[in-house]
Amino acid sequence: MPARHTNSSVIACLLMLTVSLAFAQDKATLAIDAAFPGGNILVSKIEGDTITLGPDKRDSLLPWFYWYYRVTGASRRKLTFVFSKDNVGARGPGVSLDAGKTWKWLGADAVTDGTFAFTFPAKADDVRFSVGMPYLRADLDQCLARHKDDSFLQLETLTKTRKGRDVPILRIGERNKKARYAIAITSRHHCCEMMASYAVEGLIEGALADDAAGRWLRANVEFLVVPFMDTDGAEDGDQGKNRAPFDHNRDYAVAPPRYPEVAALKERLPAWSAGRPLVFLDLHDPALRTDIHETVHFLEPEERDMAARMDKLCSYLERDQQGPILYRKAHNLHFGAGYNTHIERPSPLSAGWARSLSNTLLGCTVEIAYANAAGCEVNAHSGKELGRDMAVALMNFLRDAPENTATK
Amino acid sequence: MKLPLLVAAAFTLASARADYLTTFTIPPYTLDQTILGVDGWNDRLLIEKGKPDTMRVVAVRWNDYKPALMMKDANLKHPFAPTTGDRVKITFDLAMTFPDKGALRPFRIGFNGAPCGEVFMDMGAEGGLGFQADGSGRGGVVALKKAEVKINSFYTFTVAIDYAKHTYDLSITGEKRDGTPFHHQAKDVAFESKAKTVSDLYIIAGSDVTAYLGSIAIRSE
Repeated sequence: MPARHTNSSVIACLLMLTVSLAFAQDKATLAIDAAFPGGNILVSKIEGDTITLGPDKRDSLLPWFYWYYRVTGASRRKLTFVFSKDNVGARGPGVSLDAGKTWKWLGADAVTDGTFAFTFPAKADDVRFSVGMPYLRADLDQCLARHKDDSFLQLETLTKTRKGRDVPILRIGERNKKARYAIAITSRHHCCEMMASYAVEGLIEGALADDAAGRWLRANVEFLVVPFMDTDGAEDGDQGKNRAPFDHNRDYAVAPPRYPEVAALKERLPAWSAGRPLVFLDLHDPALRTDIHETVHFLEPEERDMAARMDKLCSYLERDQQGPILYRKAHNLHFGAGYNTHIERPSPLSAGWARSLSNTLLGCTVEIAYANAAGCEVNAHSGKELGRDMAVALMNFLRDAPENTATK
Repeated sequence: MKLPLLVAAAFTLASARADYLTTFTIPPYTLDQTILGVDGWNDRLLIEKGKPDTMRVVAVRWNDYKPALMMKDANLKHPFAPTTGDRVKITFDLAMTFPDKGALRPFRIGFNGAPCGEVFMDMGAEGGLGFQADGSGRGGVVALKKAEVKINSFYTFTVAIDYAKHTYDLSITGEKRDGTPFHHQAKDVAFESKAKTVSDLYIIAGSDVTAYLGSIAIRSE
């Protein structure tokens, strides 16, 4: 879709020009833009130091809330940003003073009905704001760089995207041994759901860790991880959710699949798992606020045997977790409850498709709140720690439950 | 295998002077196992068989995998030989994971006969890490406000009781959430209790908290 990419760039340039002119009286020219990986913003009005803005819906069929913009030339100024209240999360916006490398929540108390003010520190040349804490290919590359000499980790390319980007796929395990179990982890089917990526990174770190869980996992499991199922969308800053005519996580019942990442995974995963007992987890973020959306929760599969296994995995997670996020099994969404009601066959969902494979022990969707998980802060650190906890739970699930394989 | 023998020898020497001491590192404590029925620990509520999974010794990932007693929705009691002499020192390391909103006191630890009262984590708006509660789940002194308590970071409590002088000293050291050092001290706090010994402890850990006890020692001095 090169046309859309060009349009985004033009819009971003116009925004920069508009805002630059509006603040031309200042020594440093203030600019707001989204012309960088993951960027997404629409500025609708500027009145003095008050800027009204919102997410760029792009090709999503329904309004969604992903936004990520950069402010430059605002040192020592106090600006007020006005969003619709539906577009700011439970702990306010994410703020980065180092060009997106590290993030903090501004805090719920700093936001009133979607409006927040920010006083820019001196020498703050590149301040980023986002609905979350964006995680992009560059962040994954940093993680991979930390493990570049690790012989248990292999980076491969799943396929090329529609725009020609490489889709990274990671394999973790002993290279010269066919491990007993297979675990596949996917995320960013909805490209905006960046907080799930921190948990994915934690899972990767957990599988590679020099601790009891890491050692057991590497000896007994081979991991296949696709961190960006919608690689183009993540880099371009799309919403991805409800993408027209359907999004990546509604592409699994179509033949052939619309998106090359989905087509490639549907070919690769059954061949790679090669009949081994398979656990498939697809990590997502839910909506921004309220009720179950402010929890970590697993979506219970319709199939009773899988539901029982998910319950077991979640029991281990609840029992053994040591990270800052207090996961509670009671937050899981039972099949038939809330939005966990998909009954189409064949399933258009990745987890539903994975469950249809004959060797799958468990396939399910995991939802990780954007900012607030039952009162615990979700951020880069706690998200990664949740991933570490999930790695330990997966070890216990496979190690202590041999009956799981007997039924398949 | 010299190191474990040395550690065991050191522990034996230490325990000879201690009324009760453990760091959960050596037998009878076992990693990933419950402590129900181990070394005098038991379920406070006397539920048949208790809930062994809710109180286990684990290698704590965020503390260099050092063992600690992890408690979730746990009720524990631990009787031990009464202390002797006028002076008693209690020390323990406590860490917690907790949500930033809540109510009541999801964590409480008390020592029968110790005038410092119950040590607690209070989740109310004005709550935090405190001591000197009366055992009813209310009262006491908040030493570190909830928003400043660093999650998954050990706080060392030291209580030095002088039963002859009827005073005690209490100190809490650790880090605040922002990484700066934290130290709280209460000196020569007067008490009028008729108790002369410390003879058991209890712990109540609610379902909306994960608590870690890294070590605990009760010594007659």
